[in-house]
Amino acid sequence: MTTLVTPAVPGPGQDPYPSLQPGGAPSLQPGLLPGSVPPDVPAAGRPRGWWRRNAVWLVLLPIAVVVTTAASSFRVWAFWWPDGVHYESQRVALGEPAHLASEYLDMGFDVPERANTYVLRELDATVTGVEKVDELPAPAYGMPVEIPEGSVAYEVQLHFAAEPQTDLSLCAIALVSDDGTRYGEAAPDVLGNSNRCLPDGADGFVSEQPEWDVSSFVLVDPDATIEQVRLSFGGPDYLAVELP
Amino acid sequence: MRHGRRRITWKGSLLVVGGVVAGCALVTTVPQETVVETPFVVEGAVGETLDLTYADLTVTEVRVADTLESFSEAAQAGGTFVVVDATWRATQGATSFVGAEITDAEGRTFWPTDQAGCSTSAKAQPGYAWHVTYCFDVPKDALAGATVRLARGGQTEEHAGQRRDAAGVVDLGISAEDAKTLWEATETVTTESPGYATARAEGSEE
Amino acid sequence: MKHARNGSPDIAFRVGRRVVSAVADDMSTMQRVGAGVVAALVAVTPFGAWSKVEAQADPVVAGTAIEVGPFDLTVVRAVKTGDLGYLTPAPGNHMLALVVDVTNTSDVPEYSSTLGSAIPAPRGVDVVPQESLTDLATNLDTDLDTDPGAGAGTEPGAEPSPSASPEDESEAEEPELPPASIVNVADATTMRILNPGVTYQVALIWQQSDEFTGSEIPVEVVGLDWIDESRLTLDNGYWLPGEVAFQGDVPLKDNTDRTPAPEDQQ
Repeated sequence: MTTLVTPAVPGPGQDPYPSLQPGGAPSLQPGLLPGSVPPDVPAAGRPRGWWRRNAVWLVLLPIAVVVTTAASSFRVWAFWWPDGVHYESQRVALGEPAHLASEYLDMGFDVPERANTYVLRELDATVTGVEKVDELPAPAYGMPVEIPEGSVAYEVQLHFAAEPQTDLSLCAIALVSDDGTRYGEAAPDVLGNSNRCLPDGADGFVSEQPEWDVSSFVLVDPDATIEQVRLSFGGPDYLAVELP
Repeated sequence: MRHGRRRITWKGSLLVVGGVVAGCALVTTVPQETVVETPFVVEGAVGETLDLTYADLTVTEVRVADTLESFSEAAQAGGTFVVVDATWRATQGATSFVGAEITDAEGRTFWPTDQAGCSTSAKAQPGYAWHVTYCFDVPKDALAGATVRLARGGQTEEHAGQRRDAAGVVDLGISAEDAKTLWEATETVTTESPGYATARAEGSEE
Repeated sequence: MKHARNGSPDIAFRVGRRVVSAVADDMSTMQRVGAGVVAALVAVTPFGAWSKVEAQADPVVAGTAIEVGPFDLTVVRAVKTGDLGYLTPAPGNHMLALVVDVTNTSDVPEYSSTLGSAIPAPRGVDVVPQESLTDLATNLDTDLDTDPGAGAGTEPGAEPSPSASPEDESEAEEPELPPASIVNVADATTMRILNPGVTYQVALIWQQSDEFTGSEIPVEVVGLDWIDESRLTLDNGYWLPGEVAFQGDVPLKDNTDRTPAPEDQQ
């Protein structure tokens, strides 16, 4: 006995009628008389597995994951990244000058012609000394300030060089201790000075001289070990100055 | 993909219904609020220093007053003012302390007033202790057993600002008898503006 | 995709059509119209279609306590005066103060602005309207053009009777009246927080034109509805001003010739 139907094109390595037993009578589909041809011949080829059938989606899945993550993470760069100081752009030793250059949007408060333009802030900064002091100098405005009980005061000395009219607003000089505590990061400082990067009593937020020195005072816990000075202008990047 | 009309099968329906039931059961049995929202409450008493990780908090003194006076304004209590003196010592970086709330024995809550030089919030940096005076206008029956809750996160919208963050809760130490005498006393407190905390003598200096 | 979509909505639709056709098939047109109307009435019921019928404002009587949202309040009196603490009327105006005893009966503090939203400015009695944003913009513009020294805030009050102008220009649009400044009568300080269980006597203060000479002001108290979660904004837990719940005329005392604030005449 031979088979009743011979496939015109045999499937690759696969019998299209697995139910046909070689050398035996073909088992028929229900309702078919022996000898008749099944009306709807299923397409030849091996039934594709789940992975094959969904291959396109499987390829698209990792792409979709990447796209959705990127879409929902816009807050990281839109809100978190520009707000705060969290990127160490440079690290120098005490006394070593650092060249800082960063762009910011000028509001034109001090130099009206720069209003609403992006300006490159370029300056050389050197932290020349960090010392514990026993008393605070008289502030430019207001009553003298005593070092409060349970605190010690540090004087941070800096030297700046920049073209006059360089905007130094949002200047922050923070002392970082070995446990990561950031002392004095917010303005105004202990003497009520709202811009630490300009000489005491300067009005406005732009530099006037090509070079100048600044002394900034910070209150610190008595048992803290200061390891680093951080200089920043609103972030997100900051200059780290390692203390010996 | 299968072609033709898709059948609604018992198996499929059971799977869907079972999945929904399982999800509901999970949501109701696992207390999500306590996991997601509960602040880390640090409890203490007046005079004790509480470690809130981001700051050390000390409630230094609790007073009552009918009248509060500052150099610019005098405020009269509708009930009585509970005047809470506290010091904040930030331990991580510059911090705003926004939360200030009194809870009475019944669970009612009271917020501070900004009248007469009283503070409703504070800002401080590490390296020093910062003294703040909070004033709460409360009724007589709120005094006994009241606690004050101070934190960097705000208490509005069911303590939303304090979720998964530390909050200090300090028992004001007012007993029922204390409450009576405190209520009857007609004190005037001259408020101090916030400033560096010193080992101050009793009362106010200025 | 196509197969996934016509799962259950299809079934719901077919079942719905079956039901409708089974009910409507042997109905006359009139019956169908009647059934349609009944169905529509049933459908609008959950959306508060009938609540307006019962919304009937109760009277406001000076000295009688009413309950509004979290507050128990009693209108004490209405007074017109000159200066009131730090509040000074613009020339041609005086201060209108509605003195109210208020207790927050809830368990949580309320902002005084919630109380302010429950008692809007009396209408039709020449309360100086709020400067609209467009007015403000024109004010700023003219200020910039002419002299920046003149205060933008006080100027519009002094302009030729601002309360009369709305009637001239448009009859349909009523000017928006400002929310009250809320002051504690006991010490003339601004109230910001109303703590639970504490009773305050507060004054709700507006500026009123001197042109008003009546002896009564109409007071409306708006009901406050607690919104657990707003379906629109998803904001949760606040009091939403609703319909006018109480209204009445309160006699107006004239204290304009006296300088002291109303607190000394208890």
